[in-house]
Amino acid sequence: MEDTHGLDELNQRVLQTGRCSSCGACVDKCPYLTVFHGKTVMLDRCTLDKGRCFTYCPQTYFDQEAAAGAIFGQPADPGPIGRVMAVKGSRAGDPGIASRGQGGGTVTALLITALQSGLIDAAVVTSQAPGESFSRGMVATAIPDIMSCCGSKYAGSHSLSALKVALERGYEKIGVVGVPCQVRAVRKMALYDLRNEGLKERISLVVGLFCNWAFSAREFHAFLAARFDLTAVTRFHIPPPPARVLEVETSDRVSTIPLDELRPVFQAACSECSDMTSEFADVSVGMYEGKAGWNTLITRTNTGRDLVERALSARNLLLEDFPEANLKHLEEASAAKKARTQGETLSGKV
Amino acid sequence: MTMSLISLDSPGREVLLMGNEAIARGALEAGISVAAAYPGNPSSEIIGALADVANEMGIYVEWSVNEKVALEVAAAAAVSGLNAVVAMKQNGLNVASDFLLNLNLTGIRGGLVLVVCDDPAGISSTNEQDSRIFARLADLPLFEPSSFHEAKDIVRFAFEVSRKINNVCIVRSVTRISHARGNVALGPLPTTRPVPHFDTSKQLSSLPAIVSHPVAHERLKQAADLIESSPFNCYEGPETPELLVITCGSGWFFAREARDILGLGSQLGILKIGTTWPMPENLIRERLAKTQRVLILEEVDPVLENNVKEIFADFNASLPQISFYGKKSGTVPDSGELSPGLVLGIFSRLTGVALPSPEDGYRASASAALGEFSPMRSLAFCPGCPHRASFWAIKKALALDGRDGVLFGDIGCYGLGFLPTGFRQPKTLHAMGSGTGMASGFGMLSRFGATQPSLTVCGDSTFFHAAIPALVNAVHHRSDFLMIILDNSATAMTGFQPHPGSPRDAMGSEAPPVVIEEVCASLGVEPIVADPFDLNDAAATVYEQLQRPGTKILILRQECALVRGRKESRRERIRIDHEKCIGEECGCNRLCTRVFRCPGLKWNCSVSKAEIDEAICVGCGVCAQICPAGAFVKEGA
Amino acid sequence: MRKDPFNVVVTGVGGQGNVLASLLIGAVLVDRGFKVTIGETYGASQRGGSVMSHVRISRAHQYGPLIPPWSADLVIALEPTEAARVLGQFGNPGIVSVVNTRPIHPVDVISGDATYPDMDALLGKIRELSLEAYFVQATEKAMELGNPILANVVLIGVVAGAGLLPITAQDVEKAVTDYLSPHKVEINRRAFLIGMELVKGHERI
Repeated sequence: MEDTHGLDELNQRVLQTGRCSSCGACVDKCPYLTVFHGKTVMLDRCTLDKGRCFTYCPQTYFDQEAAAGAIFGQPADPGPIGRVMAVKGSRAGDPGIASRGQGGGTVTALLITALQSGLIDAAVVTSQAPGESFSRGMVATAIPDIMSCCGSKYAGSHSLSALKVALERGYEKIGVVGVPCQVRAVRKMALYDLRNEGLKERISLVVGLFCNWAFSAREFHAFLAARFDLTAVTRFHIPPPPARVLEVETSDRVSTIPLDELRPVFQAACSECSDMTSEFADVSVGMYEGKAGWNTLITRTNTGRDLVERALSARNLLLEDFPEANLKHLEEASAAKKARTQGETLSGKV
Repeated sequence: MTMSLISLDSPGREVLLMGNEAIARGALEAGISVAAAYPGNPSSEIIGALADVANEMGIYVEWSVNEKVALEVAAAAAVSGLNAVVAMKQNGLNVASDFLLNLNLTGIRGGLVLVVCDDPAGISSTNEQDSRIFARLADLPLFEPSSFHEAKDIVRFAFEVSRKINNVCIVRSVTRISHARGNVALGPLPTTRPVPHFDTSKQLSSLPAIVSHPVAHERLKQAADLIESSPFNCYEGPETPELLVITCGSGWFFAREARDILGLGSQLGILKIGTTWPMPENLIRERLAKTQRVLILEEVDPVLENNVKEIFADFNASLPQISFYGKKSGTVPDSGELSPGLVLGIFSRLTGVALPSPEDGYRASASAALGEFSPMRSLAFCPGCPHRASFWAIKKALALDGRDGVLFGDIGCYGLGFLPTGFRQPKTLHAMGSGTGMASGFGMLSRFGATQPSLTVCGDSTFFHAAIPALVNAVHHRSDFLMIILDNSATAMTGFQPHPGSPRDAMGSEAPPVVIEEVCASLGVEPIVADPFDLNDAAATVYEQLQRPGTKILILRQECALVRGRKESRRERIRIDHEKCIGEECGCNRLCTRVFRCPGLKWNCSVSKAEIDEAICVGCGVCAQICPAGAFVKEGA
Repeated sequence: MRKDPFNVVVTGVGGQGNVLASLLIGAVLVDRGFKVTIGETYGASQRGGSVMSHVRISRAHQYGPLIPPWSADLVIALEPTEAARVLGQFGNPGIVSVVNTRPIHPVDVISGDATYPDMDALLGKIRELSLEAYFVQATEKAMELGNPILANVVLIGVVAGAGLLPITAQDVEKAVTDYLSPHKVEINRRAFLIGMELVKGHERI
């Protein structure tokens, strides 16, 4: 492991420089870091040289080789979408679930399968109830909980803070759903486990999401509040290119806001991230360009493959072959994100 | 407080009195009718002692809202033919000075003595100040007692001079006289008091100043013969000393003892001056004529030194060449207080007589032990102090707010919040009420692009003393700031004197309390009230107020721990469950001992866990709210 | 009184009743015809800081309120590190030390900024720097009586019992009546007598 540090360094290198991606890995483990109105807030100084906050933060350093060795049993794949066992088009088997998802409800279907088959006993997911200003992490142990979390949240959510809750409640096989930075954080937790909490053993499944960037929660909320009655908003959607808009669905209509107008409320941290497809997850799920109602599903590990097979046999999931052209497009999009960071990955950055 | 002794009717009896108590006794013996003050270290015991015997002695004693008003109240008595005494610390004289520098020009008709107690080295003050310059500034006589007995008698003398010249006389004391105790022989107490009467056939005004100023100078000259013959100025030593030490106030004690320790009785003469202004010119000239080396020893500024040099300059044609040693020459430090060690060193250097220094290695060993065996003992809020909780709530609210808010500090026990005990939350500390003044000024700066929220903390006594005008100013100018009034229902730092918000006055009678909320409401600002001991609620309330525009007032109200401790014993027994305590590991890193720092806690090094010190903890339970592991257990009183 | 002036330092932590202890001693001795001067440093010090009272006792002369360096004859310490602090400035080979052994951790130690010395080493150092040393568990005795602040009067009892100052139980009663309050006479008298008793089984060089 590289030299790790404590809160002073985390504050200097990440919190003060705008590199915080709001993953939630560091907050509420101690009295010094918390979430407040969508932002990671340092409440006081901690003088420890080494702490979980710095060690688990996805923005400090990421040892790709160590992670790949532990997860895949082989070196990291240098390809634009990381290590791939299979890429498919996917959709929830149940049309009711499929229609509630952002794309095809694949994540929901996979989580339900994982819970029902005993692969996991709890899931850490992101929730935003109607009327709530900010999305947040939640520990889901039953299908209604999972269902309540359907749909993409386009802003930073600190959802990994719920992992602490799941651990405290004694769950032994936890599944985590997250965007690429959150996946990195969870993998660092399992690799280093600074306080010997059995993290490697107790985190059983990581479902990664595709992500190009996220909104900064507090600023996004202020932006929306100035334009909408937030209690009436039912859904957000960013359609695939070439649209370049955010769709905001309220009870009576759908409004569109050009993404360019929203640029000031993007998270600064995202401009330094080179992972679009959650390359270190067990499975990664994203939109299926040109095919509404479906997802792109990448399987990366044996755990992931096992889960997908169970979902298929339970008829929770439908799969389709993924066209070459789409795969090429996906790879180009992912490469474009890497190019944005000028090819520097986080393991050499901070 | 030695209450019964101040009023004891036993002339000739020798008792142990504090310098301030001796001053109070001197005022009684001089026949005062009125005494007023605002508490201030090291002066508080003067009016405190008089308040304790006010009913018995049939005098009026008041803890006034501030020092200016105290002087005005005393002056009313003095212009009506009565004797009145007023007491204050150095900063208090600054507050009273506007009135003083008018009263000196109108004069009085009775007697008025203003006692100012300076705090050399600023042991309990925000500044170090030599108040004696006010005597020259105001053309008023100023006397300095050099012992406890003198503290009493010099006050009587001051009243004598005051009545003679119809003007205020100042008595200047310092910590080492005011707060020290010594033998004092009591004198007789008067049996009658005049009936106050203001002679309306004559007006009292300083106008025109071009007339009243020379009158003030005349009054001062009238004091001259009383001063020249005063026994408070005296000489001890050889007729023509090799070194003449001219001293005043506490310097006299140190000079005599150093002379005796070094055996300098035949070389060194000590001229004690009790009437620092105006100077006993003849006596000074007489003594200067008989020496060629003069050391001036005094507390804080070279006031006596300059007075002596002035006389020397005026009469130098008839005086020998003299080398002067004092503050100007660097012989005596120009700040900090005098001490026996300091004076011994100065005498030794000036006379060449060596200090006794044994060869046994004791001193080296004992000094070395200091570092290893006596750790630093910083000041801290008492266990159970509501200010610790208030600053904790403010700290949290400011962190959540994230705009780098600025907290302007003020004077009182909560002034200690400047230190780690208050998490260094206040960023400024100046004078009484200046936190509110500055915060309201800062709250006007958004027009220049300022984005930092403005806040202040202000005690309940400080609120009445000085903050109200600043608050009126803020409301009228629509300043954006949050005033947090820390109401512990006490003027705690100085000894729990009542203030206008209290239900009793200085003499123990029922008094209608002036209610802070009502004062604020009358200015158009409804204050919010919260309990600092409910940390989450207090922090949330501070945060919410910071989001609002305009002048906001939050009262954090919880009784002072020391006041509460006199009324009830420990509230709850608290202990820490070591199974749960995370200690210095990631997840806590000693939040309670390292950051919260309550003296009721202890760190057990051998098991690396926090513990409660049973002899110190008062059971307020605030610590239990901050522990991330829920390790604090309350077990009922 | 084996020396004139006889210089006593009463020391402790703000809030321990230091000032009262020196006042009681002074009051008793003034009544016996001595000239006594007591110099204090308090005010802000009460808030957990170190406090020292210098008590100068003489048959003939009113001395100044501060003891010259290295010139104390007796140190009465309500807290052991404060005893070391006094010895390092006012001690000498002839000094007698009467020390309450219960530690009060400064906030500097509580917070980890400083360390509290090892108690055996500390008491050993005090013993080394004193002609005689009495170590007393005064706080524990005081807590048995119901209030830790009575440790100060327990120590005065030790001082009297050891013959270091001429103070009797009646003296203490009178001083408490004159300078404190009649209600407090009984508890203080008991604390004083406990101190005198302790000397019979004291630990000294």
